[in-house]
This record gives sequence, structure tokens and C-alpha cells, in this order.
Amino acid sequence: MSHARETPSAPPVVAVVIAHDPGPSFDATLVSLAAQDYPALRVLVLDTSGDASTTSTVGADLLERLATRLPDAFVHHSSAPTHAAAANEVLQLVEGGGFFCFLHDDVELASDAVRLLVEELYRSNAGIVGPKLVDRDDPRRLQAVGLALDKFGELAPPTGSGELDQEQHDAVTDVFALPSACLLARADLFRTLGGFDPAIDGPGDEIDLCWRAHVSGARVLVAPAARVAHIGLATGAYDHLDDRAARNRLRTVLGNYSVLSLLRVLPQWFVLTLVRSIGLLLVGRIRQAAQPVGGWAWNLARLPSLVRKRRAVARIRRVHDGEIRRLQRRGSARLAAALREASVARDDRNARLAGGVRRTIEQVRSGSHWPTTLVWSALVALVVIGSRGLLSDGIAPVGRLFPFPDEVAGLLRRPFEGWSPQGLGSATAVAPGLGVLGLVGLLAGGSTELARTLLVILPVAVGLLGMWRLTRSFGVRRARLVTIVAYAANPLPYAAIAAGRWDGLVAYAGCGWLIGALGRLAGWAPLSGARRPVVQSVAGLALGLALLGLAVPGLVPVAIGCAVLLAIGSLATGERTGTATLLTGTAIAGVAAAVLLLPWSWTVVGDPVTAFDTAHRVPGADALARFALSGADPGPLPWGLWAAAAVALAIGGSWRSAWGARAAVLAAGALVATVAGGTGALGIELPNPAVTLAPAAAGLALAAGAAIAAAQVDLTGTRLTWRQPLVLAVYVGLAAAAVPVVALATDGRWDQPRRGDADELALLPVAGPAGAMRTLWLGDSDRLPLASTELAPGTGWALVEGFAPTVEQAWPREPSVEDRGVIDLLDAALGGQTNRLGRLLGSRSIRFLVLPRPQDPATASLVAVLRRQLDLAELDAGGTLAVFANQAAIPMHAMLTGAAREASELAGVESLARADLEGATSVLEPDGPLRASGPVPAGTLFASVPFDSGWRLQVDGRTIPPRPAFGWATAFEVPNAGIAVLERPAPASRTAWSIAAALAWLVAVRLAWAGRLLPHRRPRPTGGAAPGRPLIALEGGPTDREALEALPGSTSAGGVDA
Amino acid sequence: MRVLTRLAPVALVAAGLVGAAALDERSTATDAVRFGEGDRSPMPAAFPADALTSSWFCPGVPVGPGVSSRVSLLNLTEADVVATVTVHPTGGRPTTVAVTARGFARTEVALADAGAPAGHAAALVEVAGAGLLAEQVAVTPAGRASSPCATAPSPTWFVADGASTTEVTNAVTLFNPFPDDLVVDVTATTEEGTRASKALQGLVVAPRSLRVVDLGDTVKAKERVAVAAVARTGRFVLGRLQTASGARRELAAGLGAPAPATSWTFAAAPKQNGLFTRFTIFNPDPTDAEVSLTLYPAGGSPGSNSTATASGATPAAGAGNPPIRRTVKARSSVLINLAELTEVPDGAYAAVLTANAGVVVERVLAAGDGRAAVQFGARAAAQRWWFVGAAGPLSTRITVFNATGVEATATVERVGPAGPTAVAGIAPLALPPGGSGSVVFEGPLADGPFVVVAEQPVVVERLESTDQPPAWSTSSGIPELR
Repeated sequence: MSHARETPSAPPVVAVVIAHDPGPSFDATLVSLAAQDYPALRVLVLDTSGDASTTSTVGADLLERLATRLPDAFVHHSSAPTHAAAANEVLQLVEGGGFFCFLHDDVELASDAVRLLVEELYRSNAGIVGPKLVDRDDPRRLQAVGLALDKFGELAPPTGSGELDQEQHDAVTDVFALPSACLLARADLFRTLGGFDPAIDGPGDEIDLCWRAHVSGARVLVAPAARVAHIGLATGAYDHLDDRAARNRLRTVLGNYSVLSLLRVLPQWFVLTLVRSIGLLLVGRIRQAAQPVGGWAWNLARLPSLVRKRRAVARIRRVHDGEIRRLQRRGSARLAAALREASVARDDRNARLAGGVRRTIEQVRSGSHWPTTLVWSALVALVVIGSRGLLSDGIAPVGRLFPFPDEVAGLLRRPFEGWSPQGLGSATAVAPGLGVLGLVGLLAGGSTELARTLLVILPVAVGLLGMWRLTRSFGVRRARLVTIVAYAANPLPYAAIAAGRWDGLVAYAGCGWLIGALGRLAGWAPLSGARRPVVQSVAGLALGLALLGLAVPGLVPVAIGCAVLLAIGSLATGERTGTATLLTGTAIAGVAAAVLLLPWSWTVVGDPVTAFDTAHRVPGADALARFALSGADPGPLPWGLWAAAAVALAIGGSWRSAWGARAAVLAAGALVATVAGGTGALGIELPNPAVTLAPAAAGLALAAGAAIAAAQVDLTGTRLTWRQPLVLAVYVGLAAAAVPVVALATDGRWDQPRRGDADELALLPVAGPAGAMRTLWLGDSDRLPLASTELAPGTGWALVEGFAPTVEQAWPREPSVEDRGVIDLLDAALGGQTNRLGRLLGSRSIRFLVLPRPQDPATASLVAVLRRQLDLAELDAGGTLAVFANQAAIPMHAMLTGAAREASELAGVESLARADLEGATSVLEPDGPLRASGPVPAGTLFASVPFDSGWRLQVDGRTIPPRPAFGWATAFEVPNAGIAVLERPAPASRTAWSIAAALAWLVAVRLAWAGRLLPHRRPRPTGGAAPGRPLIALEGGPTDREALEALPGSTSAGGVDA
Repeated sequence: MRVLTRLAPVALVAAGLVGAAALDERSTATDAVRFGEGDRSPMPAAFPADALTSSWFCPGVPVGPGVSSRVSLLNLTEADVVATVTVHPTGGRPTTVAVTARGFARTEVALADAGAPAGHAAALVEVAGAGLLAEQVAVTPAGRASSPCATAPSPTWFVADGASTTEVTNAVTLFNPFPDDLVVDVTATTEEGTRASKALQGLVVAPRSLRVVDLGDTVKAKERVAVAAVARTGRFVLGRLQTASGARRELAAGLGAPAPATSWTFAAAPKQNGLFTRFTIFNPDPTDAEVSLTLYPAGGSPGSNSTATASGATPAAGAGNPPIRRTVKARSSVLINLAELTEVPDGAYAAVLTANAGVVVERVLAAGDGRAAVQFGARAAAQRWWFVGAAGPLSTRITVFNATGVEATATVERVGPAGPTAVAGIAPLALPPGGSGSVVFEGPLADGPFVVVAEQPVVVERLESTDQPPAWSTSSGIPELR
């Protein structure tokens, strides 16, 4: 550093070099700083080397290098965990005004760089100025002349990046951001902004700083006359596939935009992200596809700090987002970059392809990845071709594939309303999965039908990806491929699609991930390589189980059963390691998952038979072993999967045989449990076979993969024995099993019917507004389109509002006392105690009784009973359904007169049987599930909802107290005619529950992410300045004019002597 | 050790698969659950005590000038009950009246008073609970007919005996008490075979209405006309209306039989001069049926205890006369006239007709003066039988048949305001196995109501006799089956 031209009035600049285990290039950095011609430059080196938790002093090597190159420099050891936090220490270490010039430890500044930057800053009245960055290895090439980004915070490639420097970018320009390799900021501005955002860990902190500078009204400029050579990337932020960059970007967007801007930008962001994630999933880049989820989780876990950041930004805001928007690129920077890359690739394929694409293509060209590409392409083609009819014509409402409502907002609200519309309705918790479906609908751009289609087709792909990831640690590509082929060749998911068993699809999607999580928890090789702390693993498993349970409650006990079977398989091989951890951890995770799903999970625990949707008929053992659950019978060929899996028990050693045994035991155990559950031998009810057999499918596939891994690792190069030919059985078995699946794919719908029962029902010429009545579905539990309450073995009933169930009935809940009362009414008719069933059901507003497949013996006998009822009229429904209209049904909101009114004051089945309910007139129009309004006359207003003091009726503003009606429902005595509003406001306890649940999720996410609840305690810095004392004290800066005149080579007129 | 760890998983998996197969093998395929099996009564019977509501379907009687048609209700409890009687006339709208039935009293509802215009009318009687019985009674110049109303509609109905000669008017009533349209196919089987006339096919009966079909319009001049009526959809109640005005004077107005059965029991089958007993056996099925008619002398058969059955609806084999066997060809009918059976001595008998397939059997009882009555046999035996009756008969004979192989005693009581009460001078009937006995009430006592209580399952029927007009009416009682 030259002091020859020092001018006392020159504004002081502190060059802040953040050095982290600096390499040899650091010496050049120090030398270039020493050579600066700026008179008032001081250098502060912040040493962030080593592990922040253990190292607390400046390294001797660094001190020696500083002493040699830049003896005047100040040095301070920083234990801050992030670059941003370390840089912010300058706020404490440096006192007074002036400028901060933040530098990486791998830059080399031209001798006039700092001076030129300061000059330009004054000249342009800027807040932050940056130099032209050139490549240190090839100074003719530009690295960056400022940074640009779009409205989503996505960086465009740096201006001039890679170009030959021909002074084409040498004009002083306003830019959105500057690389952190070198940027000069006014100290007062830096202090006002609060420095870098310390929560940003990794790339993107400079973008956030510049964004806030714009918000505060400061200009951000690039001064190309100042030239700095740089070794690393100009910024890591434009590595789009970097997790940290993605989450930091999201934090910057969430923190710096105004609320209105967020409302505009976020939906667009969701759509783009969804498209990108789907694309990444299809090419097997799971981690990158999950980036948005990780980004949101990371940011939600830091919600308090995000809120603080937004408040801070609001305080400094001087510029409207509209003006800032003009500095951003239009459209999507990422999309533009992709298009540009594609365009460039056409011209210069070898030189310009993006890293990932280029690598992939090179791998394909070299032949090293073509089997993977081929197999995945074939599987994707299989799924797409096999689902083409579903994609083009949509998903039929068969089985549990419920139609979605047109509007997603309602779904999002349901979990917070505190009223379950299922059955007769009750003040119980609503499945939070409804809200998740609402989110999916939102991600699908509001198209609930698209969301529904994706939710049916994507689980197959997600399941394959789960198995692919599970076997990643196997290290044998062929084994991985065999695993996913075996999994894809299993008829289970296609049978689930045919029968509309979404729970089976979710189970299929989740099994690979689940087994992986269990294996990592147990620490079984080769998954142990990725082993994390137990707490972290258990928290992750709990989150996974909660997510699975959110979709299919029955999967939580199934997952625990999987852990038990895997432990048994492991013990059978003589490996006891990890089994106790596995069983204990899974049990804890199961409980934690239930806690995460409170209060809804409480309703599940209360009646698992209903909530797990256990009422179904289980096929025989042979059909179960062949996964022939529904749709087209695959014949005997799926036995090939068992043959392939059996090989794993015969060959291999080490972890191959251990995993082969575990997988085979898992498959056999799941099959036995399903058979035993079906025959009643277990003594407990199990979820649908499509759910309980999914672990068997995964076990078979994994065993086949383990067999191939064993063949590769253990048999290659050994002498020929009986084991080598055995490997052939794996391939033969897989080929055989794949035949029926491939044949089924030609159907285009996986044998799913084109029409569901709900479609047939919609064609009936029935009168009455939907929503003003209920429908009782009755018959074979397997045929009913929703989970039912058991009436007799294999026969159930369920109530829906309107005609057909929607996705709001997807999560069954424990039947309420009022719901169970329906059984007494049905029993009365089925036992021949009455032929006035319609009258009994009338006060439940059950207008229709629908029985699918009336030809089935049990259902036929039900139909016969219903035909004996004097108040049920049978409608012609074409044979696939038997439909009865109840002529004694009272509308859900009705005025009662005469006998019906008198009957409403009585309770019990007997009084219902006697009551003549005719004459009730419908009133009130539903405004939503919990609100109805309209004019009413004086009299008795009946509401067909269980008596609950939460219901409130106001007539012309006057509140009418409710009274019980028919012993279960609600009635109001309306004294005078008027406009009535009937509603049930959400109770405050629901909000409290929601907050508690959100906190529980945050805790779980935090534990799963970091393995601990609280951050590590940071050791206090011991080197450099004493605590609370500045290391450098700067004098106050001169005025602009004074400063400019004081600068060497400057004139008072503002000209600069270059 | 290594071998062990290799074999253990294999053994575990093999054991699992074998276990699954064994479990599957062990699980016996359970029949699908069937609902509503318990309420299938083979004949009109009193409702079980736990019934929430009970409904009686009276199939239809003539209404009009010179005709006295009633629905007769008997309250089996001491508390008053309010019954709802809905009268469904032909060509008119149903009308509903609420009737209070006093405790242990008979209440008669005149259909004309209930708003039925001239023509025919059916009635639906409904009451909360189980304590009410209903019969329909018609008195016309041609005769008198009392018959229990149906307790359940059926998709099929049959009538075995009938004619369509010039002296006989033969019709069926189709009562649809349900809110759906009813479509019925009626088939007439004559001595010439089965005739499925187009005019009798696809008969539409509107919801909650009554339709009368005159068989004589399509089946002319036949001595034997059996009827099978089958609903294409839904259920209904069929009544038969037959009026004979020639040498045989008869008014038959009662229920059809809802289904064929393999056993029919008649408490009375007399063979004596001046009294004619004839059985009409109708086989509606497409295969031939072998039938066997056994006559049980009223005095019973000694030694039958050795082969007694305790609860069967028929006495033990060998207790009666040698069976009379006939083959009833598919979709045809056969007559067995006791008078023509020379091997059967004169006397009072009970008759049990069994068949290897479902048949429908009616008995015609005719006096020498032309009075005749027809009724179906009983399809069940019970220890308690009720007769509601109605005012009008000069005498009422109640015949009780011990349908078991053990001795039994039966008492016949009148039902009055104090409940069932023994009638002075009427002693309990001692019934040997397979034996039968009768009690005759005359004068004011003749119109009942009655209840028969026996120690063993018995079959009971009633013969009412009137002189204005001179006529007989026979009917089975209403048993308590549960």
C-alpha cells in the first residue's frame, strides 16, 4: 500500500477480505491490496478458516502470510457460520463512516481499482459499486460486469460472462446486483441496511444486499474502469441446481417484495416450479426436483427471522417495487437461459451445453449410461402409454378416486373450519390432507382435475424413484435397474388404478422411500454411509410417516409392520446391529407422526376400523401372491417376481445377502399378514390389500436387485458353480412378470372403467337441489365409492351430502354417535321390524339410497328389503346401481309443520317410525358447508345437522337459540318471518390447534434437517478486537465535493484523470 | 454358522408362504351375508313383538250397493292404538283415515265409509308396534268371504283353484302399495295348458293403486283356471275374487299364495255324504312335481308316538292313511276329489300334502246345497292362532289339527275387553298325534274374535256359515310364528 499520496481528507475505505482456508492465490490478493493507489485504504482480514465450533484463533500460516505481504492489515478470526455473517462483523469491528470494500480471498485488484470505484460511487451518487471482473487465468475473458435477475430472484448469466473483453461493457451502468467477489458499499448505507442477511448461508447474499439497497433508494452500479481478476465463479448463485442457492433465493424474494408483489409473483413461481420439478422428476433428478420443497421448508423453519427481515425492509423502503421491477429482467431468467443454451448448443454443441445436459449427453455418447437411459425411458414410456387414456379422458370416479371440487380455496379452508361434513357432520377435526390437496390444486394452477390426474399417475413414478434412490448405495447399476424393473413389473399399482384404490397407489409410491429411511435408521450397510444422527433419522422418519399418514392413515401401522419384518429378516441373517434402534425409532416416529397429525389423528385412533378403511373383501392367497387384486387378472406370470426374489436367498454375501433376506422376509411377511388379515386369523382389521401388499411388492423388487448385486459383486470372476446360472432366473422371472403389465398397458387406462358409479348417478332424472339432501350408499364394502361403516361382514354403508362422494369424503373419520344411529334404523328395516325405512331416515335428510352392483348376493338381499319399504321408490338406474328415492325425506333445511313438527320434539326410533314427515318445505340456500341463508316464515326451522350449540341462527339479526330435534338434529323456533342466516363459526380452539400443529411441524422439520432443535452455541471470537470494541476506527467521511477534490487525480469539476 | 444364517431366512420365508397357504386353506368360504331372511313369513302371521311398525295389506274386495266390505282390526294389547287405514279404490285417489282400536277389541272399518266409491278397494293398515291384526271381510249377494290380510308384499303370487265358466266370475286384484309403477305378467293355466295371453302381460299398476283384472275376458269357459302373477319389478299383493252363482254358490275373496311350497296342511278334509272336499294342486314350475296327499283321521293313529317329531309341521310318517300320490306336470294343475277315493273311508280328516317341488294347493269345501268355500292350506304350524272375524256368521267352526307326533291340548277362547276368555261349555280339545278336533260357536258367539292356544304346534282353520245369503267362508287363522 502506498502512502506517498495520502491525503488526509480522502474518504476512508476498509477492504474487508473474508478468507476461508485461503489458497496460494491469497498472496496475490494481498499483494494487489498493498499496491493500491488509494490513499486511505485499510485492510481487514476476517479469517473464517477451520471448523467454527472448534477453532477460535487466527491461523499461524495466515498471520505469517499477512506479515510478509501486508503487515499493516488488521486480522480477526471470525467464527460466524456464513459468509454474510462474517462480513457483517465489520459493523462491530469498524467504527465510523467511509466505505467498505468486500473482497474474496481469490481476487487480484488492479492497482487503481479501489480508487476508481470510490470515484464512480461519488460521481454517480451510488450506494454500491462493483468492478469489472475478469478471469484471473485468462484476463482477456470477462467474468461479470454486474448481475441481472428476474422477478423470481433467478440470476441471468452474468453480463459478459465468458466473452472476450473488447471494452464492449465498459460503460458505467446501473445493475441489479454485483458479485460479492468485489463490491464497494457506503458504510452508512451498509449500516442502514443491517449488512448482509446473516441467515443466508452460501450464494446469494450479495444479491439480497443489493436488492435491499434498491429498496432503500440507493443506486447499484458497475464501474468497468475498475478491473479485478477473480479465480472462482463470479457468484455461485446462478448454479440453479444448488439447494442453498434455491432456498436463499426464496428468502430474498419473500423478504424483499411487498405483500402485493408477492401475491403477483408467487403464483407464477409455483407454476414454473411445478413444471420444472416434473421435468426433473422425469429425468430422475429427484434432489433437484425437491428443491422447492426444501426451500420452503427451510424458509418456514426460519419464519420468525423472515418476518423480522420483512419488517426491517419495510422500514427502509423508499422505492416502490414497480421501480425495482424495471431493473429486473422480464420473463424467466431460467427459461431464457435454457432457451439460450439450447440455441447455442445447436451452433456449438461441445462448448456451450449446460453442465448437466452436457454431462448426460456425453455419458450417453460414451455408452456408460445408456442402460439407465434405456430402462428409464422404457419405464416412462410404459407409464405414459399405459396411462394415455387417463391423461386424455380423465380419471373416472371409481373406487376411492373421488372427484375434486372445482375450486381449491374451499379445500384449503376445510381443515380450519372445525366441522367435518362427513356422515351427518360433526364438530371434529378435518383431515389436514384436504388442505394438502388444495395446495396441490394450487400448484396445478388451480386445475383440480389436473391435480387429480397427477395424483393418480405420478405415484407410480414416485414409487420407482423411491426404489431407485433406495438402491443408490448398492453401487451396482444393474441391480438398481433390476430393482425398478421388478417394481414396475408388479401388477399392484395398475390394479390399484383399475379399482380406484388411491391408498394403494400412495403405499406403492412410499414403500421405497420408507424402506430406505428404515434402513438408514438401523444403520444397515450400505445405507449406513448416509447415516445421520438417530434423532435426525427418527425425526425424518416421523415426518415421512406423518406425510404418508396424512394421505393414508393406515400406512403408519403398515410402516411399523415393515420395520418389524425388516428386523426379523435381519435377525434371521444373524445381524442384530441396528434392530433395536430400528424398532424403537420407528415406534417413536409412529407416535410422533400421530402427534404431528393431531387433532385429526385422534379421530383415527378412536376408530381405526373405519379410518383405515378396513371394510373390504380380501382375495385368496394365490391371488394376493400374484397381486391380482382387481381389474384384469395377470395370470400366473407374476409368480416370476417371487422366483426372482428367491435367488437373493441363495447367493451373495455381506450386505447383499442381508438385504436379500430382509427384502424376502418383508415380501413374505406382508403377504402372510394380508392373507391372515383377510381370513380373520390376525384378530385385527387391516387396511386394504392394495396397501398391505405394497411392502411385498417393494420387498420382491429389492430382493431381485440384491440378487443381481450379489451376482455382480460376489460371483464375478469366481469359478462356475450352480449359483451363476441361478442369476438367469432373476431375468427370466422379471421378463415373465412384465408380460401382463405390458399387455395391460395397451388398454391405455390400466383397465380402469371409463365411468364410475357417480357418473351413472348423475344421469338419473332426480329432482331436488344438491346439497339440500344426503345420499346413503349401501352394499358391498368393496363396491362402495368411499370408506364405509360395517353393517355386516363385507357390507357397509356411508353417508354423503349430495349424490356422490367428493374428495372431501376421502379421509374417513370415526362415525359419530349420530352416524351410528343410522345402523339402528337400517337394522330395523333389515330385521323386518318396519317397512317404513324412508320415514326412519327422513329426518337425516337421506333422499336417496344407492346400492352399487345390485346383482351381488348380499346387495341383492338388501335391495329386496328396500323394495319392501312403502316409502322408498326405486328408480331405473340401468343395472349397475340400484337407486331408491326416499319419499319421506326432509330437506336439510326445512320448515316443519303438523305431525312432523310434533315428531321433532320426540326422540328414538319408535317415534320416527310413527312420525309422518310429509309437509316439510325446504328453506335456506347453502352458501357453503357451514352457512345457509334465505327468507323463512314463522315456525319450526329444522337443520339436519347433529345438535350442537355452535350452530347459530339469526333472523333479521335476532339470534334464535337451537333445540334438539328428533333426538339428534337441530331445530329453531322462529317467532316471526324474516331473513335467516344459519351458520357455524369456526371455534377459537381450532385456531389454537392449527398454531400448535404448525409449531410441531416446524420442530419436526428442524430436527429432521439439523438433528437438533437449537443452533450450536457460537464460540466468542478471541482474536483481534476485544469484545464490544471496534478494531478499526474511521474518521467521518468528507462531503461529496470535498472528497472528490481530495482524491488524487481528480478535479473539482468532477473530471477524473484516468 | 454361515450355513445357518443362510438357511434361516430361507426357512422363514418358506414357513411364511406355507403359512399363508395354510391360512387360506383353513378359511372356509363364508356365504355372502343375506339380509331380510328373518322376516319372510310363509303366510300372513302376527308381527313379532319388537316390530316398530306393522303393515297389513288387504288385497281388495268389492265395494258398492248391496255389498258390505270391511277391514276388521283386532287389537291384541290392552292399550288403545291408532291405526292408519289407507283405502285404495279402483279409479280413485287413496284416502286415509285414522282409526282408534280399543284394547282387546275388534274394530271394523267399512270401506264405503272410508271413502271408497263403488267398484273395488284394497286397504293398507299401518300401526306403530305389533299389536294389531287385520282381516278383510266381504259380504255380497253371492256369499261371504273373510280372509287375513297380507303382512308382506311379494314379487310373485299364485292362485290354484278357479274357473271361468259362464257361472263363475273370476278376477284377480293387483294391489300396488308402493310409490313405484308396478308391471305384472299374469299367466293363466287351464286344463288345456298355460296361456300367456298378451292381454295379461305387462299389466301396469300405478303407484299406490289397485287394479282388477277379469280373467274371464281372456280365459273363457274353462273349468280350471290357475293363475301365476309375476312382477317384472317391485312387489305387490294379489287377491283373488271369484263369484260362483250356479249350482255352486261361492264368494272367494282372499289372498293368493305368495310362493309355491312343498308342504300344505289343511286342518279339515271331511269325506262324507253331502260334503265334497277337493284339492286343486297347481305346479307353476317348468318341471314335473310328485305330490303326496296324506289324510289324518280326526281321532289320530295309535302308536305314532314311536316316531313322533316334536316341532315339525306334519305328523310323523305312518300316522295317517296311505298317501295318495299324483304327478303334477309342469305348469299344470291336478284335482284330487276325496269323494272319488274309494279306498278312503268316510270320516273327518286333516290333510297334509307334500311335494318334491314347490306347488300351490287349495282346498274347495262344498256342501250339497251348493255352498262352497275355497282356501289355501297352512304353510306353518304354531301354538297360537288368531281369528279376527266380523259380525254376521250364524256359526263358526274352528278346527284344530295337531301337526306333531305327540299329544296336545288346545283351548279355543273368545277375545273380549278383558282379553282372551274361555267360553263356558267349550272344553279344551285333547288332540292325539295327527289328530284333529273342532269347536263350533253359534249365535252371538259365532263372530269371535277367537284365539286358539295349544301346547304343541297346531294348524287351525275356520269355517263360517251364514244364511243371508246362505254361504260358507273358510280361512286359515293368523298364527304367531315368532
